[in-house]
Amino acid sequence: MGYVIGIDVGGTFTDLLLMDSSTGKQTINKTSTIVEDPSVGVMNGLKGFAEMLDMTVNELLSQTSLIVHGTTVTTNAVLTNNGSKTALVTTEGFRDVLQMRRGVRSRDNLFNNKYEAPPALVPRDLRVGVSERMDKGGGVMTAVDEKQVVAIAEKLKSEKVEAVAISFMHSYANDAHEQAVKSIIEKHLPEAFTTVSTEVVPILRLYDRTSTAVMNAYAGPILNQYITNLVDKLQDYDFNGNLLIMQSNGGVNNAGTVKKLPATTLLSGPAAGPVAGGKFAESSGYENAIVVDMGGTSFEASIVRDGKVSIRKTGEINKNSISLPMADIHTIGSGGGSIARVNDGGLLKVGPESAGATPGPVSYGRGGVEPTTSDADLVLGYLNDGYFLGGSMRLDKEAARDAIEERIAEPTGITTEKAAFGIYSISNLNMASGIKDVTVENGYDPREFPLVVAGGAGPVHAAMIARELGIKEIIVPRFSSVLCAVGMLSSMLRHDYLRSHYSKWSEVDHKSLYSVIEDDVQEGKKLLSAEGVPENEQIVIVGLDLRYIGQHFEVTVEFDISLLLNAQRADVEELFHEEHRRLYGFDLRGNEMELMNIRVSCQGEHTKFSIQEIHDADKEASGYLKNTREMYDPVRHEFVEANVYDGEEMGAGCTVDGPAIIELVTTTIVVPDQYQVKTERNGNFLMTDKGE
Amino acid sequence: MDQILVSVLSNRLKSICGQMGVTIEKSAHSPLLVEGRDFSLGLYAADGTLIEQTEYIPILGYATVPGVKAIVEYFKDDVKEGDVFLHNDTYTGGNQNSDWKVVKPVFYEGELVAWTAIIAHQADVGGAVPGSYNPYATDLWQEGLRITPLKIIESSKKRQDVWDLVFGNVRLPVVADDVTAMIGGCAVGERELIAIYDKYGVETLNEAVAEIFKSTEEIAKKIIEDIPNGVYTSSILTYDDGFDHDKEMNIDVTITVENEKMTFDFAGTHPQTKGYVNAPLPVTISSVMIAFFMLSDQDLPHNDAIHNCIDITVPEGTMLNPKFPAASGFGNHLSDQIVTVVMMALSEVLPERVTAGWNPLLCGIINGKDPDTEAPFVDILLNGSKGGSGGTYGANGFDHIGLIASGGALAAQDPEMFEITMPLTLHKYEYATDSAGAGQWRGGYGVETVFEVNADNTQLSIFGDGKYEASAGKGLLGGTDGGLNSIKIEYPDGTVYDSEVKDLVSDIPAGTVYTQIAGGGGGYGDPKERDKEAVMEELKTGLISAESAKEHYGVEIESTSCTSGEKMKMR
Repeated sequence: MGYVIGIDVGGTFTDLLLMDSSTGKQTINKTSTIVEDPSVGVMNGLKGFAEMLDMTVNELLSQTSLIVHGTTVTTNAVLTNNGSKTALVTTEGFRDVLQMRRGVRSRDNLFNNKYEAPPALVPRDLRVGVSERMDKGGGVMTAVDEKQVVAIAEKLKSEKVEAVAISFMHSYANDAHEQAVKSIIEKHLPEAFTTVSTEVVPILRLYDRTSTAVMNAYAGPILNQYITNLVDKLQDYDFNGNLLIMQSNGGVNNAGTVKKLPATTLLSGPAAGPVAGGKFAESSGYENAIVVDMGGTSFEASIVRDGKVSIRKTGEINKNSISLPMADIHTIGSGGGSIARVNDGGLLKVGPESAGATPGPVSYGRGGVEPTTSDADLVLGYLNDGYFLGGSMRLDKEAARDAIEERIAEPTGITTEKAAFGIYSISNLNMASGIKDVTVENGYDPREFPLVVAGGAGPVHAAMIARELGIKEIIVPRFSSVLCAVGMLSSMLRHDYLRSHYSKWSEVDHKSLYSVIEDDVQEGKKLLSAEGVPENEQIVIVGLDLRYIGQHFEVTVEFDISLLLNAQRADVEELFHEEHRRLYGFDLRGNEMELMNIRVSCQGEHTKFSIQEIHDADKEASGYLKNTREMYDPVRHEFVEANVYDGEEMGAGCTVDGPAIIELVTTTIVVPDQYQVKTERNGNFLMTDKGE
Repeated sequence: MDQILVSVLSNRLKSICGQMGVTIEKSAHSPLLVEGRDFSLGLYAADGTLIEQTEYIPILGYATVPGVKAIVEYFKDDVKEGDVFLHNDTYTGGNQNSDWKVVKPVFYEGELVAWTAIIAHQADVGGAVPGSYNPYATDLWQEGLRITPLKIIESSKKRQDVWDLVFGNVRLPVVADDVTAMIGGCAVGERELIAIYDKYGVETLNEAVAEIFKSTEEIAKKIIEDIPNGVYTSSILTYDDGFDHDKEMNIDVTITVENEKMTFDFAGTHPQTKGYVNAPLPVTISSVMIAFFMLSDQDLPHNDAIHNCIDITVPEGTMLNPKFPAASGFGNHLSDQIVTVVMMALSEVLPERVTAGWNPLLCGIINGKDPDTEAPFVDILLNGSKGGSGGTYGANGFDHIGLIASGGALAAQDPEMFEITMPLTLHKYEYATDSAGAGQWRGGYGVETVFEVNADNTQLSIFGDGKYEASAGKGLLGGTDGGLNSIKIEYPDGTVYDSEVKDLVSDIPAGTVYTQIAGGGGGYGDPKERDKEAVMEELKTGLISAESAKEHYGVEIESTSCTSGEKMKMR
């Protein structure tokens, strides 16, 4: 079979990447997302490929062995409170824990008494307590009142509840009550999507476990319906290959498993970004990378280390906690649409308010009146008013200039150009600070990473963001505008499992530890085998969440399962001390440790993917010169006449010295003085800071 | 000076504060700092003027400033590169014995150019009661270790003798760990400031700071100019001085707004009390600033420039400015009443900005020995103390938020972690029905907490207010008061002790049941104007009782069945 296809459904665009697996040749397509039914946009994108290949959709799909899909269906359900009608069955006395969210108003709104929390995903009358109780050791304190559960089930049935989450105190230590209640609920509500907390995430901490289970239930019916609908449509067009779904952890899983664990897809879309970014960095010879994506309203930053996407253990969506492994992607409200304002004290602020897509920046001419970062980029000559999106959209430079003059320059008594450069600089500072949040905060020195830059506006700002952080190497991939679709195909299959195992480290023996995770390991390997990964290519990683006794945060150490099987106890301890030192700057060797959770990750390759190569240039860079244009050089702090190169046509092996501009259809690379760009075979534009 | 460069440097200073905060969060040990984030930090000029700060807990913000200035003045020329200072003394600028400051000078090219400071609540600071809330203290020595300006590290070398003396006088080793983390945080601030000096020079940064001050003052003036000129007064009561449980103490404020200047005068406030219900001056300064920031909808830097347009005076010898050597361990918690009295005074002229009263704190600290591990445990029972905040124009109060001094930043402990870390069994942890004050925008709901003690010889130190009608979270502009606080201790033999709001209960046996109600916030505006749908929703979910819905909102349910399709009617 000939083709594999990666499909990323984003908020605005559906991005697709098609690879001919016999030749490795890749083609991209971008189409509008159809919010009401994203599968329609997917089919439109596939039709686009069929047309390019001069065949019918049936012909294309019958020759397609694999589709890897990232979706925001579950994310949107939670963000917009549009999930299924869900009930929560929990221990009597604890039904409000879900809504209390540990009593934190919002750390960004300490002084804002007008701030109100988003409503809980389950309203209070559908949060019901059951008389039952386990103690912290998993011993039964109060048996389940089964009669009461039956009455509850009947009530939920009459309420026409579509999904039920079950989460009891200390169920991670003993799930018997959860299972007993599950069977009653399933008997009385066979149509409902039922989730048991310990089947999603059997870890300690009632709020986090309950919230995760509730989100799983809440998004369950919607994701199931979406996948079923998509599969039907694909099959109507003769697709009989595999469908894999991108999970929040940056790995993919088969559609059947994902349907049971919808909560694993809550950050499905963006998770593929760092996967692809890491792949592009690797093709340029880097094991580590900071991957950033600058869009219209937000800026996302993440890190890749030793070729692996950095994973966080917990996250939050619309103030709801989720305790499943997910790609550590930090989002800040900074993008091309970020609004610049002079505050009452005469100082310039950029963002986090955004003009978004509508009205958008002033220069879009859609009614925006407040100047934005994109408007500043235009006034400074970084963007071309006649070649935005390859010339398909005209930008109004005069309107941008007038807005900056009137609203920024005049109130502060500076020139319009200076004001525009101020917006550009502060916007860069905001984004650099976002990168610090994922690097410095996690114990990494950003100077040791190259910066992989994606998103339309990213390469305009990349050089100066990098300089702010002391980063010397910047990579702009040619396919950066469909970064996540590339990530779909370059990802790994990944099945993650997590169990609480609370005990003193000194009392843990390795044999029993393996018995705790043995079922998970077997389950993961079985799935991988079914998905076509040969036994000898299956990777099993074990993670232990450890801490020194008395601490409140766990540090996860990861290692190949062989270390556990060979009982290399001291090696595991050493890994923990080292990781603790790296994160916090010190360790407490000699202090007693305790184990909280055990993680298992089974991984394998689904596609032989390599970056699409480009032809060698048959001429010097000057042969690709389009024209020159006046641009404000952010290093020299003056306007210069910069060479403008055609980045679409430029082959591998060219060198461009700044100040210069390289134009592509979906982005513009600003190369300031002291910077140099080299084009590589892998299609990357490698920009180097030669200053200082 | 170039306003763009000023904006850039202002952003950089803010970013340094962020990095200092992260260092503490990641490296401190006690749950109060790691999970509760009970700390604050700032950057100071060479003369001790506050340049920029990030409050993780609002009350600790401006309360840090006087102590930093005390250190600058005390040591004068005797400050060397690599020194680190420690401080808590309430008679040289401290706000509470338990809140320790670590202060570190920043040198550039041999010159003292700035300071970094971090303040954090310590799990124990010595004194008669573990956890250091001693309701029977009548002077500061009974409360805990008094640390006047003290050098603990000299030229990067730890003064081991001093260190041992300090930490030899507190019960828990975690305090030394937390102070070590604070020193690390200050060092991060120092390193990042030096990076700015390297890039821009000392002169440029100082000029920028002067510009930032001008800018802050401009914003503050505009906020004040929007308040009509006039004199506004109010008074509020607080109860129980630790000795006389029925004692009433008043806090009076007179606010004068004159064009772009605002003064807060607390003359008339009750004289200082015999026990620990006294607030050192920094508490009032910080509380007034909390009220000011909550009243303004502007994002402005939190620095010392604000004092150019705001004056705060408190007569010496009153409860809000006690004379040496009065105890003051409870002082931080008078912020509940100080903020509320300011809001009440301004409610007529700023009706759309003021907030009804938050539930005043009532909190227990429990200590004892775990019968299984023999290890001692001490915990501030934050979960139980989380009452509701007050309603405000356009927004309901926040449910289960806790004291106003925290601004809603303190996280409650997870119920399972609560049981794992302490010999306590939690039976109930739910919103307290009918606890919210009624109003067009209701107050936030409080919480009911019930747990059983599994260890003998347990001790509870209880501190707070809100047990009596007049001390409930105040309703505003027609809104009713929030529900009351209470703590009841039911012994295994069936006897029930109704705790006072300042109390110390010892020798609690295993099997005792602790029940606490944290009341709600005050309502805002006429309850009859409240959206009826919202009332019915809360009636349906059991947050409000049928009687209360009828009494306050005129809303009734005909059928009490829990199924859908029930009929509701409005009156």
